[in-house]
Amino acid sequence: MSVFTEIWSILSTAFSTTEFYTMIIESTAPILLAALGCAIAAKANATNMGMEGIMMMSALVAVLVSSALGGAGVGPWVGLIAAVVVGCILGFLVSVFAFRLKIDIILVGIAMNLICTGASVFLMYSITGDRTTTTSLISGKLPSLSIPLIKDIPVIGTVLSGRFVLTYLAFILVAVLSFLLFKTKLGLRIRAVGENENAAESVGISSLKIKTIALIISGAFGGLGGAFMSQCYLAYFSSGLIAGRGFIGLAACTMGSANPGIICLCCLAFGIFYAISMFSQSMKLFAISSYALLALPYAIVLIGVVIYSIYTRNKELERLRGLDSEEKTEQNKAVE
Amino acid sequence: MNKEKKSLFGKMDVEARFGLMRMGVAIAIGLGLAVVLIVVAAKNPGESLKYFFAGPLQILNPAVKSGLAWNYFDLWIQKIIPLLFTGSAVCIMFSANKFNLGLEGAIIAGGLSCAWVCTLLDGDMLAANANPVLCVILGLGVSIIAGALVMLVPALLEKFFNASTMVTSLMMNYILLYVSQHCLFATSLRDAKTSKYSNQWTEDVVLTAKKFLGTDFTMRYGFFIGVVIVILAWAFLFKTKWGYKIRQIGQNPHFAKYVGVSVVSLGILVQVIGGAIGGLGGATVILGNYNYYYGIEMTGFGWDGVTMAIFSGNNPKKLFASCAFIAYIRAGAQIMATQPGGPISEMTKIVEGVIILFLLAEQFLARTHRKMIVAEAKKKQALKLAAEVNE
Amino acid sequence: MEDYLVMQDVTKIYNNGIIANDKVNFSAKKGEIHAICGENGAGKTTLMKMLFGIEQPDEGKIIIKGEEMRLNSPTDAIKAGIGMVHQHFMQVPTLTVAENVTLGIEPTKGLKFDHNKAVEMTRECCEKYGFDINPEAHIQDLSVGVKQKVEIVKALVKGCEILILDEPTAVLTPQETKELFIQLKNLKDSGCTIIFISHKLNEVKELCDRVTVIKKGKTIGVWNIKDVTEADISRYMVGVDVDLNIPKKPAEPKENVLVVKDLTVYNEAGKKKVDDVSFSVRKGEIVGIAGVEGNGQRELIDVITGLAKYNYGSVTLMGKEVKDLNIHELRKAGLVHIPEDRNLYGCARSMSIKDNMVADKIANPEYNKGLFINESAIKADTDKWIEEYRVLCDNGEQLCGMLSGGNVQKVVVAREFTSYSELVVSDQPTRGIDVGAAEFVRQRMVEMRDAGKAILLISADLAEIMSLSDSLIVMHGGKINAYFPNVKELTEEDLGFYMLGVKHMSDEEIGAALHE
Repeated sequence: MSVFTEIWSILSTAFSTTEFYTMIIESTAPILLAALGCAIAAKANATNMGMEGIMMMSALVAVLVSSALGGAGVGPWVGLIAAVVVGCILGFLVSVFAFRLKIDIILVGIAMNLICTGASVFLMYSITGDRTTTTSLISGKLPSLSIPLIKDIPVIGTVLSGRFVLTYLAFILVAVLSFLLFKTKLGLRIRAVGENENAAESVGISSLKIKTIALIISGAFGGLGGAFMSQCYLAYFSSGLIAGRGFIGLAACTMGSANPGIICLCCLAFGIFYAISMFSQSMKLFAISSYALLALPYAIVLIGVVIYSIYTRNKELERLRGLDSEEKTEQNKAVE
Repeated sequence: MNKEKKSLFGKMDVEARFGLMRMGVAIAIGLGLAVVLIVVAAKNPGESLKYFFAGPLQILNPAVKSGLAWNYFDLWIQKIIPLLFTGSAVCIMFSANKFNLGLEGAIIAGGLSCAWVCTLLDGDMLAANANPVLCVILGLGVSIIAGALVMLVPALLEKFFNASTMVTSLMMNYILLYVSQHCLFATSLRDAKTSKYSNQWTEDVVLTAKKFLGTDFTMRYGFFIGVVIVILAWAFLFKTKWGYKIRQIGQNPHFAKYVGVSVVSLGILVQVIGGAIGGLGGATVILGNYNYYYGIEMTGFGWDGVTMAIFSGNNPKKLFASCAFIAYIRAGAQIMATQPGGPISEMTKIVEGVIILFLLAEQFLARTHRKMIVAEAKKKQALKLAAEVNE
Repeated sequence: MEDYLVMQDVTKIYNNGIIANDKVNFSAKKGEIHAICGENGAGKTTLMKMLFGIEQPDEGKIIIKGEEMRLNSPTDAIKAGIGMVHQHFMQVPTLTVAENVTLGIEPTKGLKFDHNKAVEMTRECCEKYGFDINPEAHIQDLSVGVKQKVEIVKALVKGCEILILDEPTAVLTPQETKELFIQLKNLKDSGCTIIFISHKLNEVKELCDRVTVIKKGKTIGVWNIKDVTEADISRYMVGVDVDLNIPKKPAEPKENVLVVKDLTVYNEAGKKKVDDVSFSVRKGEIVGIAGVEGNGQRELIDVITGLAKYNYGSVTLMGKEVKDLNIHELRKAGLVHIPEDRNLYGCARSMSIKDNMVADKIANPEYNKGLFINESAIKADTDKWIEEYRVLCDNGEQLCGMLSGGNVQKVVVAREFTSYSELVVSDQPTRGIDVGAAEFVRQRMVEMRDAGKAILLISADLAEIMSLSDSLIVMHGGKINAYFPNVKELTEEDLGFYMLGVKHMSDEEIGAALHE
């Protein structure tokens, strides 16, 4: 079988299966949460490289708190709140080290990831005695939500209804973050600080305060992303649970130029290719390596970032050219 | 004796003294945290602390069986080796302010390509009795090229398309991870009998001599390669004109441009060199521990490089001490963790992260710094006054 | 009319010991346009920074509407009714005009930022004062002139009654300037007090009611504009205190080294900064470029030293077109350059004196042995230079950042003057350094000239430029406004007239700057 016929068979089987579509949605959600978190930080001109660590730590805390409350009923919900709180605290710490102690924010992120990797495993082992997963704890999952009316529609109903609560929340948050960034006073100030700190300071806005708030919110998104992984995607925490989703979120944020709507599309694109690569693992393939397919979503992100860079560069060149001609027309006017 | 020590410390200028002091305080905070974590988590804190702080040096303790003690020591050496490579690579890249995080990918590529060469030359594929030394040299050589090529990708993407090196290099890491799995599991590299590993090559090719000269000591040649690399990295950065220009870029890119340094091409060069060293490191790890290739997971080697570069302030000369220190606490933690009731070795990551933050914090101890400068200025003024009076 | 704003005996001493303002007195009436004139570094900007709360005075009082004020931050100043239009606009490019204007005092409706209200506020303000701006346009799409109007509206919307404009016309085209003046006069009529900082005396004469002249941190005097001529103001502003009296023989110029022909340079924003400039610098002469800052000297020097590119005209160094060479090749062709900003371009503060001195010649064969650097050769040479250029330091290993400004400058000069050179571009070579170091650097330049180098000197220090240069070019508005083949015949009063655009030379006289 040739490569092309095999690609065709993967795609045709995938796109005609409903599980494939749910797979897309569920694998997009955590990355979307991470990317939105990175976006609000990016709008304040801060690279939240520590997203990976924040997700890791909050995923664990969600499990621990939930299991302490029995893992059922309100347990997972309190776990979710705890995860968000932990995310906020870690986001705040990043801002303290980066803006008050004046460390390069990328290095703060790297150190944060290191600390969170160590601390999550250390905590897990200290509490459960297990070094890889928390399966010995009963932490439960957040419920799925079936949506009336929609759930009765054939095919679409099974895809769109019955997803995890946090999945819906992730997509709702795209709109919420857009509103926050573009329609509120805080969003205006965040964008102003991110783009021209001096301008903001000159009208009496404290850039330190605004950046700190942005990173705390960024941490909260990370907390939601972490909770998604340990309370929706799986029902436990494991050391390799986050598996670079924070970094992919950062990449998606770069690609989407920190704009929630575009970020959502980028994450969906990643989700589609991720789902294809996952889906194909269950198929018998001959011409294409299923391992190489696993690299596909990452390659897509890489290509996406390159395309985005070319696009922004051309736009900038165009702008400069526009200015040049504007000057010349004005001169012509003067001559006349 | 004490007085002399003080005067040696006094001879260094304020900045060097302050740097040393800040490092000391940061390490003290980190180790203090380690003690707290161990005391909290260990069933038998005294015993655990002993293994953490003295584990790798049990050879000095006659009460411990020598085989075991040497194993502990060997663990330390084993942990130093990759740090020497990754540390040198990142030192060179960070010297030119290049935040390329693709070292992880370069290491995977290096290990894989080296294994490929070794199985090809030595395994049953060619069924020839290749010279093991030639095999090692070729394997290492290919790994250097592979590592360099991997790092060249983000560097060129930045040059031509202005794409963020940080993001593209992170994505390269994942791509290489899965490509290496593909090579391992879906190509002729894979050993048909086992499901995990590649074809084996003979023991001779391995860069390790167990029971060296009949002792319990394990000889690791990779250590010497690593030491040579660190020395070369230092000589390159501080003893050649290229290294000199690279540091100029890192210290002040405007200045570098103004004196006529080609900032862009040297920026690419450092990433290629970093990748080459990373590739070599990956090959050394594979050849030093196994006679087959296994699917290296994301081992964190790349991030280790960043840690080491921060510890040594981008100066490879200081890498020996930094690598030895980090490897020591890692080995100590691992030995401690193997004892019944010992805390988990991952705690060292917390310690490392905390030390990094305090090492880097500009404002940390700023007041002490200011005091030191003022005291120095006053001292100089007093000396000047005294000299004038003498005249 | 009552004095609306009074600054009384205001003194400001910076941390490095420079007295920027020494008991300066300044007062403005309600509804007047008051100009502040002074040379570069006279202390105008410092005075205004104190009025806008960015800096705090060490002595003296600021009285607004008869009430003494302490202005600790721009926020305090805004509350006191003061607004400032900075030379570099304080704007966020991707936001709309309305958003920029209301930043800091954003109207809200519930949770939402009330964009409609913001637009309304902006529009209201624009209408009231007669500005024609679309409040919903994005800043990045606007021309410089409109951006400046936005900056003024930004201040007005916050209820400002005293408006400071720091060289507002420097970035504007003549049409935009004309429009701005009409609007400023409208503002004045509606009771606003405007403080107008400018070098352009014709504009001051046209627009303002009174003028205060500041020189070297001190108030020279206040005049009603109708009582003084442009020439008078120029005379008050420009003054050479000391004759530097540098011993030098008459120049013996030989062949051309640098030839600039019909050069026109646009800056990044597309504004023409250098306008059809032609001149040449010959072996064995020092050519000075005088001019008020911002009249194209910066862009001209960037082009000559390879830091910026140009599209129109030609610049040749030793017969080679400069834009075809990178900086490394330019230096090989014989360019050395003492940059204006020694901390940004001139040195790496975190590297040693030794490293800084050999920075441009590290690849020379005499400093390399095979693959490696020849440390002993470098040390021998740098030790010699430290001695020769009298750099005050412990040894060559000391970090450059630990030195005083004068000594850093000596390190820069030592590096540049010991390299192979045909043309020396000396940009503000003695700015901010002590008298001894300055004298030393000037002496060296004369020695270089006598050794047959071509020297191009740019300096804001008129005493320096008049006593060092053999011939002098004056730049005004991006053009060469005057050329003096023999500086000895030039009076400082005349120089002031040409620098400030009061007088112009004929094309023929200017054409003599290019020796062909």
